[in-house]
Amino acid sequence: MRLSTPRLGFSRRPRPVPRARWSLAFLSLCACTAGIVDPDGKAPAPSGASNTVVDSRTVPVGTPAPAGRFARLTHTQWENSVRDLLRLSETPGLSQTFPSDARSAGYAFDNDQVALEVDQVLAGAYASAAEALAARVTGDAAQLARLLPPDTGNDQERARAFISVFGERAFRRPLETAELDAYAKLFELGKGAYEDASGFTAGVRMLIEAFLRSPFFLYRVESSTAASGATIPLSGYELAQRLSFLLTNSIPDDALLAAVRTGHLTSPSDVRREALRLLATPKAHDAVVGFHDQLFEFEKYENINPSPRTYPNLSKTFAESVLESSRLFIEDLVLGQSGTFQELMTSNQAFVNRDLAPVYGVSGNFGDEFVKVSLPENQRRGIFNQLGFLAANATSTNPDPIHRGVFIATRVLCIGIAAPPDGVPPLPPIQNGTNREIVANHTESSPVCKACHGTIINPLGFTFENYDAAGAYRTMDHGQPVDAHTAPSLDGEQRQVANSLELADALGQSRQAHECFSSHLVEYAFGRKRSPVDEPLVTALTDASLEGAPIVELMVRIVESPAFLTRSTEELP
Amino acid sequence: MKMNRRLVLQGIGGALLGLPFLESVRARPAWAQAAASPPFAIFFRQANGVAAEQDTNELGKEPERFWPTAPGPLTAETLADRALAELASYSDRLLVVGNVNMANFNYGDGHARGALQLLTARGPVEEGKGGDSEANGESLDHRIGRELNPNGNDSLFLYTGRTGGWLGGPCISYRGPGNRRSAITDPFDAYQSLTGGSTQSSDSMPSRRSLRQRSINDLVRSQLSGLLARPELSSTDRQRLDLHLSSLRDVEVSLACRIDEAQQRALEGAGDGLDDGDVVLATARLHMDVAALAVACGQTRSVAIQVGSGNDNSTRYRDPTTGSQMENYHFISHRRQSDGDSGNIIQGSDLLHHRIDVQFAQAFKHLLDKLAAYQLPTGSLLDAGMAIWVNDLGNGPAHGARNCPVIIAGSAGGVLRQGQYIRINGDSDESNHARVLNTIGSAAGLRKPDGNFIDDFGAPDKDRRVLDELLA
Repeated sequence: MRLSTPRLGFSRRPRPVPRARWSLAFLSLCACTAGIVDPDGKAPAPSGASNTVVDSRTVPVGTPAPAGRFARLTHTQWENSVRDLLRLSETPGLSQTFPSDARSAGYAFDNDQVALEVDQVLAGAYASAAEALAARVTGDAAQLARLLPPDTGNDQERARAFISVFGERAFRRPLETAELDAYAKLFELGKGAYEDASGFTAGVRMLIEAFLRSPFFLYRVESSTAASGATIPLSGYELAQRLSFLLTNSIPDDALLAAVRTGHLTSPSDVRREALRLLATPKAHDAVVGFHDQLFEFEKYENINPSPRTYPNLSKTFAESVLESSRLFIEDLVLGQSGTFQELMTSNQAFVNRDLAPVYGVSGNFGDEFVKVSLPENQRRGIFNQLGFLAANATSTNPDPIHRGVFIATRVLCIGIAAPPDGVPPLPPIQNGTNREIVANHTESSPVCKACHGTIINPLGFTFENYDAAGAYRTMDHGQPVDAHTAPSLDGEQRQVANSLELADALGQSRQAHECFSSHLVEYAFGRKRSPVDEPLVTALTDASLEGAPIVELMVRIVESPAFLTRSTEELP
Repeated sequence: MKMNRRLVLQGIGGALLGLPFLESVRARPAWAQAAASPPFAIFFRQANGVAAEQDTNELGKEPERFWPTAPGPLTAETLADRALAELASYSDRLLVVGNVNMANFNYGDGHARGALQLLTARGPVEEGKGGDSEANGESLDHRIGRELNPNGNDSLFLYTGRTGGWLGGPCISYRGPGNRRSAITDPFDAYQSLTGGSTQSSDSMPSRRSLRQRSINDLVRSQLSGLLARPELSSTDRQRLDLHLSSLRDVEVSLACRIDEAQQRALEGAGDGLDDGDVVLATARLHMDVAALAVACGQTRSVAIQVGSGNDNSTRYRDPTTGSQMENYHFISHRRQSDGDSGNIIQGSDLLHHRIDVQFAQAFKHLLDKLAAYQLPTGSLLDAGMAIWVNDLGNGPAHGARNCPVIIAGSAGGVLRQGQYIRINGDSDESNHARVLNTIGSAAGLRKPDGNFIDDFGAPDKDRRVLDELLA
């Protein structure tokens, strides 16, 4: 289903949220191995210490951090770029033949610009995919016609016109004369290079193959070196590709390239205008949903598998429906309704079908199609009280408050929690008791374990005890009333919450949570881990988010910031 | 326009001429004319330890179900009722290495310590990072390929199971410190990586394709070289572009690396159930087919096959006695319905763990069968190299770093002892894992500049001498 385009700019002012008295970078929670992760992933400096490389208080908002000049396309970006470059109706799906990119430790997203590389296997897979795509496109006259300039009767001229126009779109910049000549030679060679094609079409086939293999297609190359003051302004073309890959996960569209050519992509207001335009296109869906998809680890939802013995009535397509429902929720809230982070934490709307409605306790006739409904306010609030998060963080038979708590701590509050030490002897099992009692007994009896579990993990995780392993609401556990009351630490203060509904409210108002979310947005936008240089920008986004800026507005604020419009004069090591 | 693999084949074009798989390779083994076939190493990795004798808080005293009954010659009697009994038909070509102790590097997590150290013999880049850890060095499979492979071919790193998860899924192969390698998850893609993307099974039309590829590669090389010449480049960028440049291959694939279309279809037959143990191990077998082909045709001298993520916590193996899927493997290894110390105890999970070990042994035997089927003038391919079944941990609940299984099949051309169960280092607790890797690396053909066996692989502060007691 396609939802309405976002309404941007914001005037709503939700209930005022007091400005916290602390900075995320200086929070200290407990004496255990957990602590707020600073941008380098190291333990935080004590307040007043001066061991940070950059004093964020002196950095202007939006100062660029050193960055790579060759960010390889992610596999998703490759799919989308090929679709758009070749003007296909859908992505070709050939990246399934690519090796899976290695995980980038401590980074939530797939676009770590210095980690993505081209090894022998991927180089071979790129070559095979380029061959197949070139054959496919040139073997389809209607498809090829979408790419070719008019036939003037002169194949050489037509080929050069193709190279020029197609090349600009493939490289996200105009080709230099020497490049145009090199591809023209390749065109001539291509005429006789195929057994099953010849002449002009074969030449174009070889060109397409070669363009898809070029580093200027496979990497987002940034070549600008001329500094203006303390930064290096990006060229219009470089800016266009930054913008389009962030907001559409693909190459710039024709309108964006036209804006560059006509000098209408130079100022922050130009960038804002184009960003708003792109966010209103269907292509923004994948990029915006994709960010949340990775941040909230939706891929784990595919693995939801409650015990059939304990949950005999669950559909076999339960996990699949949970995943789709979660993506629809993000699409609707973030793009359809221009929702805020607070609404992400507190909205009681959800998409349900016949698989999910019974688990949510929603009555009515539902089929395979998803229908947007309002869930009971006294049972559901925000994305973490939906089935996906709850069922993905459960054993096959019981809720898993440890993983629920760890996720909220690490991904929503940006608290770094070290792995448990090896060799901690397990405690004897408890035959009777609630899930909470069993987990508390296992994790809070030892001072070593309690340091993290008792102060961070369990106070967050136990709030969700009203939801079983499938995510269904419950009030009783092992014959006893559920106790979901805890006192997690938020914004440096302990907060009493009765359950995860109140936790959702608290997260929606928490500066720590808004700052963590803003920090993730910045990481995703720049394709790297957070840098100390980012702090002013993160703070500005946090302030805006707390004041009710929609999530898409936060993305626009990023792209119009100097950090996005320029490069650092300092290169990576 | 969704394109499937078949369309890729058609796109690349050309008639697919069939040659019987084994016959085609047997007819043209890469080293058939050589005086001796070069050794190789194929690593097969299992997670979560084995069902060895142990005392757990969950189940009490668990009997020995994995290791032979006594050191010394491997016989039907010493293997009886153990998971290794599945390999009894190869007992005279096995070297079962016991008391392999990994170093107690501070990874902050037992699985990270085991899986990331497994082939690197290195500690972490940064201590105590748990699931965010990276190994601080090159892995042995990569080093063997880097130093010994012909034409600069990369070694193969193959993976089966759900990607993501603990340690991010594929995690045992490293190009260098903190530089983890991407893995091939699909056997057909692995096969294609051997052939440079060609799926033709004959040499009928290679010239035009080779010409095209060479022409395009030349252009891509000039573009990459131009980028590399830019003075503003950081070493970070330079390193990545250098890798890309060195990864370009002009396609000249010998017939020996090709299989016919029916065999290609078999490789495409890997199922979709990423969490289904049957599918995961079936895919492992297909990976083994490609691995055997790769070493047989001389494409690489090392392959690493990893099954499951850092703690393989999504795969649910089947209990053959009931026909139903077990809890996920990590739960089984913990003996609880939990990734940690909480959760209900899974009664009989020690026996279930043993049944998983048996399934891994059966999969490993598939690899041995494949290698043994390739006949060379000097014997079978299995005798020329090594297939090595390794595990990150010694056991499950304790995440033990001691007594981690290393089961070697094949003598690497007569370098290693055979038909023996040897407990190294006289049963001492000291770390000796780096010595095992240096021994395997040496057996695979790695040498110091002076021609002697290597003693430089792994963390410099560890004992890295070759273990004489494993040599023939």
